Amino acid sequence: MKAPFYTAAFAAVSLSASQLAFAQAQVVDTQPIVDNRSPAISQAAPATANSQAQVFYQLQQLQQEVLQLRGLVEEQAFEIKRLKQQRMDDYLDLDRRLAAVSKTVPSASPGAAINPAATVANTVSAATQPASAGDLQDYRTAIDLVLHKQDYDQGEQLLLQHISNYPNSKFLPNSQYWLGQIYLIKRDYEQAKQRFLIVKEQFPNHDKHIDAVFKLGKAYHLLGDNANAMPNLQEAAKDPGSVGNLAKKYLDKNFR
Amino acid sequence: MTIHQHIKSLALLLLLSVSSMVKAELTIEITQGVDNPAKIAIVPFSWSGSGPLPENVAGIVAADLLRSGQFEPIPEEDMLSFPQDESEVLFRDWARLGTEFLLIGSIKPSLSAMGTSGYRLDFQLFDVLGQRRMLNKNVVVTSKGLRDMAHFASDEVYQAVTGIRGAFSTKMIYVEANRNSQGKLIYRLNRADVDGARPSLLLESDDPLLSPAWSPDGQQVAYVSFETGRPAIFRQELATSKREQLTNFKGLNGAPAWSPDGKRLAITLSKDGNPEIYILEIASRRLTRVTNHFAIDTEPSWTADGKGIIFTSNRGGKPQIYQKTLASGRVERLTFLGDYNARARLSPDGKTLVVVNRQNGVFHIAAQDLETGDLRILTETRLDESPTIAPNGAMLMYATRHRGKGILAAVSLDAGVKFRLPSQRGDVREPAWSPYFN
Repeated sequence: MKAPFYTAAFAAVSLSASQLAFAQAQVVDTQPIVDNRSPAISQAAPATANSQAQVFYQLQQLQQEVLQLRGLVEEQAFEIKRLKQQRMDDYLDLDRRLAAVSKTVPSASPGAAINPAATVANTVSAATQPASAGDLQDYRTAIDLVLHKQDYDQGEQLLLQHISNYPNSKFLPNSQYWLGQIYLIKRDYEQAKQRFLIVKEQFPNHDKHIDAVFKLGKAYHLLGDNANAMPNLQEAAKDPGSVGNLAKKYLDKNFR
Repeated sequence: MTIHQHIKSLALLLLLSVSSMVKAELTIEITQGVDNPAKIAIVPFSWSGSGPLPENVAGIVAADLLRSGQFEPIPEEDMLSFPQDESEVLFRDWARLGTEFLLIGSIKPSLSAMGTSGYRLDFQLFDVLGQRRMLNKNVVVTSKGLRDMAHFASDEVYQAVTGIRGAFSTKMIYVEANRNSQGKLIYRLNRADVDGARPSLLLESDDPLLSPAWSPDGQQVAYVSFETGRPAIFRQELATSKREQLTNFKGLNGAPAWSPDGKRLAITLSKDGNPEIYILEIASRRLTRVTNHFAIDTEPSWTADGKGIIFTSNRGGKPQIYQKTLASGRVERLTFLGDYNARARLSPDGKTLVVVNRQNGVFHIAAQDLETGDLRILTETRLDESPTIAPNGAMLMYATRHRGKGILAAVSLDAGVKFRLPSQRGDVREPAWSPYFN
């Protein structure tokens, strides 16, 4: 049903093209050579006996189009439903695996902490170890103080406690990072530098890693150590996200 | 398809007591069986009357069980003895043959339930390994009922071993098209046993007959006939051959499907412009419109609870299966695999949807698990159509083409067993498997 229409339209286009070839500069009115059956270009059709047929034809085209769109919507809705289900299944599977891993980790991690060959495993196990209730609660309390109450002294104490109480916490990099932030605010740049260095060097795959690199560069800069500040800021500037933008702005502002 | 590669092809030709059934038109050819059928010894039944029996009853039982794919009857020549009674059974001998089950029986003349002369079969089924009797039953039939007797025994054995009710006693109807001596096509609506034996003519017409459908009680059929010059839906009582024309609308009148309560028919009519689904209440002739869409809606069938209609629609640009819940009016698309899905039928448990599915330009019969959405292609031939499911949900029959002729074929719903019922003359199509009659 569609194929003849396409061929007709295509013929019309190639016809007009050949006419254009004769008079290159002339503006050609394409109306006379448009195939009358083509509804796409027939808005200005004269009220002839043909027009009713055209409307009918157009209606058929629209119906065909709606059918196809409906089919597409149905298939996409089905696909979305399927993907949602798959995501849920994958999540449950992952959750089950993590639960299985967490049962084996406590016995393995003390050895891993001592064994230098297992530093990677250490960070991994630290990152994957599920939060115990106290761990999460302490971390939340500390972060709440820092971010919402801006009580940096109390926050600093709690974060330091959290780090010593839960050396394998999955929030360890976060605690170190926020501690660095507190020291930046308190203008204790040396302490800040050390905290950001921990995050940068020990948690290369953590979410906060690139943030820490940027803040480390900033800390070096504020310490007056531009030789160390530049590579960190430039590394952070490569980040495609918001950290990269911040780092670029910082570089533009301070290193022009 | 690879799943079935390990399944051996049996390719056995069974001639079902052709001698006596001159009219038998369908013979059975098993093309594929399951991997591990249960070995069963069916000892020829004794006959204490005079003269030979017109049917080989044990042979029919063996053929039934072989066709189910779940059994492998051992050849008569291999049997060391022909016990007629439990006291004569030596389990060790049968175990040596690798037999798992043993069926023995004896037939004697008896008065049938109607007081006419008939036959009585007493039969016992044994578990050879467990050395115990599983069944001890009898059945009385009329003088013409020896095949019924055999199918009854098959049903009992099948259920005792598999736990699934047998469907050997059920019937089928189908349309047969033949050219007469003038070269004109003649259409016949036939009823036969599901093994193709004992065909009987329900209707003969010079004009096409289509879409036969059993009423849920098995007492009537509905079909489409062109005898009035255009398609019209008829119903016919099987016992009396009384016919009644139900519809005579302008345009298409087609695809009747009985509601589970037998009081209504879902039908396709194009009286309002394009094919739509309607429900016809048979007693009052009241018509209710079910679908209203400028796309084609056709081939209705009912959900088992009678609360929904499953139909084919191209409202998505391609023919696919939809389900409409009658109370809420909600329409849901059921099929998404393949660019063509049509002629849907639900399995009796409502969990499987059997459709004609097209993939890569080839029409197959496929079964879709409604819960998981998985689609299983059941048949590998081209142009397979009109699937109809046995009332026990174990097998389905469909129409296909073989050596240029329209024939019927059957496949189990797990695709493990396949057989053909080649017609000896003409084209056979549009099978409909009956419900249970009791």
